[in-house]
Amino acid sequence: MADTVAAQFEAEALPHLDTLYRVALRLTNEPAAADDLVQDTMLRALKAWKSFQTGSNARAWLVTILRNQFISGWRSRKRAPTQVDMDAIPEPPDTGDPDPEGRFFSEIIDEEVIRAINDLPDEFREVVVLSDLEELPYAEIAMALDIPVGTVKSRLFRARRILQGRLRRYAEETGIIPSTGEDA
Amino acid sequence: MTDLPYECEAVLNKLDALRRGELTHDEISTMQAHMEVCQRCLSIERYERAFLARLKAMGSPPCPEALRTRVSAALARSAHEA
Repeated sequence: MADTVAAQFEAEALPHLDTLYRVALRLTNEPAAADDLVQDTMLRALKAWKSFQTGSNARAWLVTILRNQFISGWRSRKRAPTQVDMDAIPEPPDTGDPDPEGRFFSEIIDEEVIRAINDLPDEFREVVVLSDLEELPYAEIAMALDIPVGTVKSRLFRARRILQGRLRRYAEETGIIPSTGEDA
Repeated sequence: MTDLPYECEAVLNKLDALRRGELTHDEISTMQAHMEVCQRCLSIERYERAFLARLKAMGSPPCPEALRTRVSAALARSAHEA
């Protein structure tokens, strides 16, 4: 009996290990911690398998468990949340360059992009990770995070603006694009 | 969303749908007409397109084999203890 349950669980859950690993990596920002978080998530999910309704979305269910594990056991070990100006929308630079973002993204390093995502407050980081890195549909993100689709969209919009401001500042500071002299 | 003008908010709300090819010709025309005169929305649209392309180009690391093996072993132990 136990073997049958375990086999059913593994058939549904193991195909999502890549997604769970990447989400865990971005939530914890530490490979060793991500490994532990994924293992904890899978063990918790196996124990809760009876509550999973066959035919519903296993990936969203697993992401929910991973996120809950992260919040209860991992987030408290992290730094204090970053303070952000919630209404900051960067004004477009007036540099005469028709496509400054396209140009700076070709020169900016991967580590800076990842660092900018890592520095987002948790509620913004998780929507960026699930939507923009993992490309989950809004409805699935809403299910995983237990928030309305409209909240997913608005958090994603704000998260992208925070990243935009941060990456533009980096690009200006490193001379990839000319400084606009703005604080945005 | 924010304190943006209604027209801007309507356009920015549909940027993902635009990129996913989910809009009608009329909706696309309306958005394009707005972005021709709104530098802020055009800038945001260009930024998001470049940002998402950049993330895609960075690739997606798979779950390491060692972790896969470790998880399978932990699940087997847990199933047998249950």
